[in-house]
Amino acid sequence: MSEGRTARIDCLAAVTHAAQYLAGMRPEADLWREFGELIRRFFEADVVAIAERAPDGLLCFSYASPADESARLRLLEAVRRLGGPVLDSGFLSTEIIALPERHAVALLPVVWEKGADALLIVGHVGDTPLPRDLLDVYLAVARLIGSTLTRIGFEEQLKRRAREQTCIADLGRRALEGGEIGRLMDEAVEQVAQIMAVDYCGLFELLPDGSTLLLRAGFGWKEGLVGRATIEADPGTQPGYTLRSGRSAAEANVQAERFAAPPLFRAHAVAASATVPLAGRERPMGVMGVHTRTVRTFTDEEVTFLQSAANVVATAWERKQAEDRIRESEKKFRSMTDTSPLAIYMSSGIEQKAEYINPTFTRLFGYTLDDVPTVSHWWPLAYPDQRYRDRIVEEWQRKVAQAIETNSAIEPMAVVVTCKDGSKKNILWGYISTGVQNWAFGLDLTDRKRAEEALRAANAKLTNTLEELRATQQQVIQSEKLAALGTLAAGVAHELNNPLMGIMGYVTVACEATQEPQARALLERASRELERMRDLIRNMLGFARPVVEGKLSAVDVAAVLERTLALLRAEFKVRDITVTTEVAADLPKVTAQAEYLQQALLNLLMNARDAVEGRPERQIRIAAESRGGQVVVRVVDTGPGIPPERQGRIFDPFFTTKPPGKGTGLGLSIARNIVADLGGSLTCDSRVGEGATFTLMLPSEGAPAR
Amino acid sequence: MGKHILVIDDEEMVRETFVLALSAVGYAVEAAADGEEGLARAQAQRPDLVFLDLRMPGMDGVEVLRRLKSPGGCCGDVPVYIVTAFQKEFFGALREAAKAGIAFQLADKPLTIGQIQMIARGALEGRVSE
Repeated sequence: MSEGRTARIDCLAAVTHAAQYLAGMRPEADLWREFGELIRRFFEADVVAIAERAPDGLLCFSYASPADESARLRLLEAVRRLGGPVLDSGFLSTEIIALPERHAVALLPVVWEKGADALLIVGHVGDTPLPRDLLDVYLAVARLIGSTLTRIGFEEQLKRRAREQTCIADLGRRALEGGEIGRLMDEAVEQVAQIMAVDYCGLFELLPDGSTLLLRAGFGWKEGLVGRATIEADPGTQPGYTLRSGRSAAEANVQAERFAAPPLFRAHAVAASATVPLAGRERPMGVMGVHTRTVRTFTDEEVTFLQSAANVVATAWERKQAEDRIRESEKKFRSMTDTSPLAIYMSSGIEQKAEYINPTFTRLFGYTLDDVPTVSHWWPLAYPDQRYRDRIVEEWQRKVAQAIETNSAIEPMAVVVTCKDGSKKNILWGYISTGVQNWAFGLDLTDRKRAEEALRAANAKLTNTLEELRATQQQVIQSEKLAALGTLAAGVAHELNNPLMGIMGYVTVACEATQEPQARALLERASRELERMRDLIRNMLGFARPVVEGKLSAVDVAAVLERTLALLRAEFKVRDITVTTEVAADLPKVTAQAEYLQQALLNLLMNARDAVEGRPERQIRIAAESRGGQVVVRVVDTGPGIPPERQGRIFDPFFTTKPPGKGTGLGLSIARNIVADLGGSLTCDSRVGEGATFTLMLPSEGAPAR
Repeated sequence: MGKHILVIDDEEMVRETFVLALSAVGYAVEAAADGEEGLARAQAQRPDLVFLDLRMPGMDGVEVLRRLKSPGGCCGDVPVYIVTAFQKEFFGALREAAKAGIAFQLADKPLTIGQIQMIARGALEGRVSE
């Protein structure tokens, strides 16, 4: 036996040596097989098997020889019966079981670091129990395997940790490089899947609806699901729980555990899952998960690794989102400043170095960044006059200091800037400092000043026109007053003339007939008084004498018409009256006085204006043409028209259809008197509902008068 | 002398004054109150001189003038004095009449008896002396 023992000890040494040699081998199944084969060869054992405790708690063979099925089943039966107690107690068990031949079998606990325990099963053919010393050797072998496995496990753990760390470092580096976030995500799921040896790895993004998780990146999933597949973030599911609670979850056997499996998982026959949150600063961004088709326990270390990878992704992702937001806002800001009508000059630092000037700045002033690299370059260029510059710089610095002191915006400052091409611009400067950056904003007032001047000029012109209109209207009123007085006086004078003529005749006859001196003297006095009365009446008639006085000359009707329209244009516009004019190009001049002709036309136009007031269609058409030695001006309105019984009276003085206070009833009368004085005629043609046409005819210059 | 003068005026006092003035110096005077009557009287007895008012009801003075002076009229070469206070509305018509070659004189109303007699004497004696 001692010889045999020596040989066995040699064998043990060989096994130890082999175990050391095998320590680097992977996967475990290969290791078991190598151990099994070694033991069979060195100890001439008839049966060698290694049983492991599976995650479900049952023992199953990782290696068994011989491969004979019925022998293995019997062996498994023995292992099931005895294996649990052996593993729990740590003591070996020997048994004679019925394999094809009777075997004495030893079950030897293989103990290494926590959880991963197994049984070494060795059997020899025979009816007697294995000798004690052989059992000792086997026990030593089992311990050796255990310690080897522990060491391998430890090394493996170290290696895995190193791989994990390399992976995290790699992901971290990629994240820092700031590449596309999608690439980082793809990289992360792939590396994690490989390191953790899982079937699936997925990054689920929480969509803005707050309840849907989108498979944003994935490894191992069926084709076409990444970027499309979604799962509901129901807290009853593992991903939902992780998302809501912010806690990781590891389930060795999904079917048997507390969580419901989402359809996506069921479709992929997921048996075990580990999920960790993708935590954002403000809200969860999603979930990262690893999944296997087989039942598997995820160790704390594995979950920690998964969480680390998820953290890298989440951090990079969140930063990317922040960067996108910043880039977007920068883009907005940039497009704002680029298109701003304000000239912008941004400088920073003690030396006030220019960092940005917008296109408006260069467009306005002509200076580029090269011209004004610092603020001190700007001053002498923009304000070449020393004294002006000193004043501006002093004022500017004072205002900036004040703005900083009171923590308020600078009071805007209006200056004249000399541009690169030598031109000058009125600029209003504003200033904001963020403490780091100084922003100067320049508003170009040059155009505005020009516009203001134009506006002022236009205003002045308008005021003049209004004054003129007022004066003209005043003149019209005045002449209407005079005309009214004249008409009244003429009427009275005519009526008085006839009886006066009679009385004068009677007095003269009576005077000649009487011989009585006193009566004669009295009648002569009466006669003289009558003559005085006659003269008075003649003076009164003077008012009613021709309206047109002064020298006549050749007058351009088109020009007078234009001037008259100019007086009323504003008023027409206010009243929304459309005025069209058709003036013949070869219109001859007329012999007239421009002022009177203007007044006649003005009266006609004002009449038309009043006629269309309140009408749905407000149009005045003016046509001027030459016909048969006459200049014919027509004023056509879209007013209500004049009934026939009124047409005979419209030119009568004091005849008006307008409400009291609106018209004097003299406009048309005066117009007709003027036209008559100029040797022309003014007539009216109208039908009710069809407006009215006033036709003014004047003899052309040089043409024979009627 | 036997000269015959026709006065056409719608105002009775005016007609009376003419009658007083002219009959006093020996003229035969006939007075008509409107244009129609005046034309009828002129037709009945050809006057040597006519005093004519402008503004009258019915036919106005210018129209009466035109008819008196018309080619077939009775008074082609009879002097006609238009007695007027320069009523503007008739200016155009008068100007046209003058352009058409109708001869007439203007007298400024009111006329004194002396003026009426002077006009008549001038018109009639002048013509007679021709």
